[in-house]
Amino acid sequence: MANKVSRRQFLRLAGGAAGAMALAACAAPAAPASSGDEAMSQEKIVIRYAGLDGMGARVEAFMLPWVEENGYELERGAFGQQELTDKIMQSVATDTYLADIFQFPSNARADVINAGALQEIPTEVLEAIDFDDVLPGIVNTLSWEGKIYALPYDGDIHYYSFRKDLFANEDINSRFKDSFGYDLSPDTGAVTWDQWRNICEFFTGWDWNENGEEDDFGAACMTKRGDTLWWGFNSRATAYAKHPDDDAYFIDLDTGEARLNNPGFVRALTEWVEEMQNWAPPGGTNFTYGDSLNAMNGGRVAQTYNWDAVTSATSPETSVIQGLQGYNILPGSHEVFNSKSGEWDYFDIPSHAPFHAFGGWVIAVSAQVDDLAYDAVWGFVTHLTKPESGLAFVTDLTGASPYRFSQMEAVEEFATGPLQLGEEVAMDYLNAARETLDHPNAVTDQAFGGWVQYRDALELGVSKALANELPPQDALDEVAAAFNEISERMGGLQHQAELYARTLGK
Amino acid sequence: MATEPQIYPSKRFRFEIKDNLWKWIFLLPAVAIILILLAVPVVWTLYAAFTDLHLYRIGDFETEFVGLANFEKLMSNRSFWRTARNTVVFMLGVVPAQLIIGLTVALALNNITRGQKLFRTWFLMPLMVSPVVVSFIVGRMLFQEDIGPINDILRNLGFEGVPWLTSPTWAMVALMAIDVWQWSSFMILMLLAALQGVPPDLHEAARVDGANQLQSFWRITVPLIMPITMTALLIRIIDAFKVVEIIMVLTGGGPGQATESVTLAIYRTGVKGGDLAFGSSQAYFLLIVLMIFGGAYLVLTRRAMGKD
Repeated sequence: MANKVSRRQFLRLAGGAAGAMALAACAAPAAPASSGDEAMSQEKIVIRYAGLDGMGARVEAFMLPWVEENGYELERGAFGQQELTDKIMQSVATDTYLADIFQFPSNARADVINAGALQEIPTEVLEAIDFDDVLPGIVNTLSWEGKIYALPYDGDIHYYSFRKDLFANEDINSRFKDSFGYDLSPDTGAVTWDQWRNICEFFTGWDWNENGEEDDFGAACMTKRGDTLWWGFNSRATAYAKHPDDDAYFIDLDTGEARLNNPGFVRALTEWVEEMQNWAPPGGTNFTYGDSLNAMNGGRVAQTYNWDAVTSATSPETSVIQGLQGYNILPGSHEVFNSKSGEWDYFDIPSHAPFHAFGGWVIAVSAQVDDLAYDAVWGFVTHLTKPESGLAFVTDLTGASPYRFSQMEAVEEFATGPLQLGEEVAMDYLNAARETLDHPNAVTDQAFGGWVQYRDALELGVSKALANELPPQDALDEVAAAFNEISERMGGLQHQAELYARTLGK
Repeated sequence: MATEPQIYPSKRFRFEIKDNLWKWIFLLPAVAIILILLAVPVVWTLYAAFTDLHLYRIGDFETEFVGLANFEKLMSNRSFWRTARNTVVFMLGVVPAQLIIGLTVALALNNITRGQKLFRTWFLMPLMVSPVVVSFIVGRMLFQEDIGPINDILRNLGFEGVPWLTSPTWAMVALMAIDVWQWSSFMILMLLAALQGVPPDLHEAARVDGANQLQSFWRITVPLIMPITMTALLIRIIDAFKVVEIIMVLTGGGPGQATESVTLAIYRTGVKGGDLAFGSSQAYFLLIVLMIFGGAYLVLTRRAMGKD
């Protein structure tokens, strides 16, 4: 149609107009063509990498010997977490060059891959890095419509983390049993969210950490809007709202209608509000990811769920609980809401629905890589993500979590390597990771287009409930309405449902 | 017969024309660059506000002209009006407090003869710190509910800790406290400069005429510092309307939506969410409100100062 322009054309035209005018105003006479072009071709090939500041520095340190050995140069763009995502999304949306290789959050894959911003990973690279060794939960985050567009770097998922030493304490256990009628398990921690709640209640308000103050609480979670609330709430809700017979979780795959206000989500939020208001440290309804981690590592709460709790819990500078923590898959539930039937189904064995929270950082190659740098770039990512390199990253203090079958077997490296987990903790940690990433009822994080807006809508509603501004049902009704409205703006409910199916690998 | 003197352009006049022309010629590049950098985004944003432009919509969608749809949505959007209310409350909380603190401290500083330079430098320091740093250090650390020093002191004195960041009311108070801490210095320095511009002989003359200190302050000092005070107030009001950094760091807009400002909402919608169309309509709404407010403020203050 004559009066319509595509989004990219629109952005390009606007950018081009501004650029042209700016150039017209300030341009100096053009430099004459010279033999500089020939000199350029003889210069070193530069590989440009954009990534997180901290993780990127480790990548740079690890890759520099390889880069120098091959006669290349490496330029690294360092960004903060949110800044990096924003930069990548904007470069994708405006079709502008950011870097040859970039690290990006896998739940932006619909936006990034679908926009044609990435190169498909060549078969030779997949073979060279032994791609079959990557766990299924991670493979999904690297794929789009059956093709692989990114390489694994970090198996980011939420683990349940608890104080093994407290749960093994006979005196504490007998008091717990008197109150709730069953034993605390130092092997598994809470197996269901009901148990989690009992533990929350039991460990609040008495001096179990023996520091002379009653500053001890049951749990701490990430509850701050604009921080990591999305993951904090969804990890709490999946066991109630993700039915094993239904692939969908966030929206209905047939209609595209949001499910966020169904009884499963409402139960999760109702319970969570009670837990965070009564059994978490003061300020627990506005905790960042770091706050919740600090509360656990500072020995003030008995349990939490988080990402790389392992790394920070091992350092004497940041933790008083080295070697005392246990890990497991997120708790499950005997009752699961069935969105298809509209009823709660009962399971004799608790149903787990571990949340692949965030889904991990992945490494991708830009579609705009210069022909000259093509081999260098693919060589770089191959070396960075091959099994030996991956193992070196996940067993060091990098914050990267395991994602390969072979890494799950490397107990010794986790136990005695830089992380110094010890054998028992290492085995717990690896079992939890494997069980989560290989779970048939695992919940893939939201990754269909516009996920940032959906995330903000959910965080707003949940935050209102946590602040008692709205009852949980009303808050989630607002969330569901906002989800549907966003879906309409993003192309329609059906359109978003189709994209959701693709992110689930359907 | 008296003849009217004939007016010929003088040499001086011709020189002035040339002088003005040269000024314009030299100014032109700068004006052009500013116009481009200002006009292009302003016009582009206005256009976007009338479309359904979305950065992250996937598929073969075309950007369409939607008329006033985004503004209609804005008018009926409860969430947006909540942020507007928060912004006004914030502005009304911080600006008067900064004016009172600024004036009190500036008056005190103006009357001391030793150490004035030291204090002036001292009061510059909060202004040199990034709001993000201030929010983190002054905000998240001091106001930390669990182990923060403020609640620690309160508990040691036998009071309950205050839910600084989890109560909607107290979260707003904490934000205001941080902003007042940082920006009162600006008022102090501006008002001190204004006070130092008041000729001391006026006060001496008033004293000779029998005026007391209060009369001298109201009749001489206040009118003379009024222009700078009004300018400083306008700057602070506009800044308060645009507050975003300290909210992002300290509360993220929460608890609930209790501290989300209009600017933070625009950032979330347009920049992070990619909904440039709706974000642009929000931005234009804020721009129009600020222009109306700023214009009215200037007219009223000029009238009040008898310049009209």
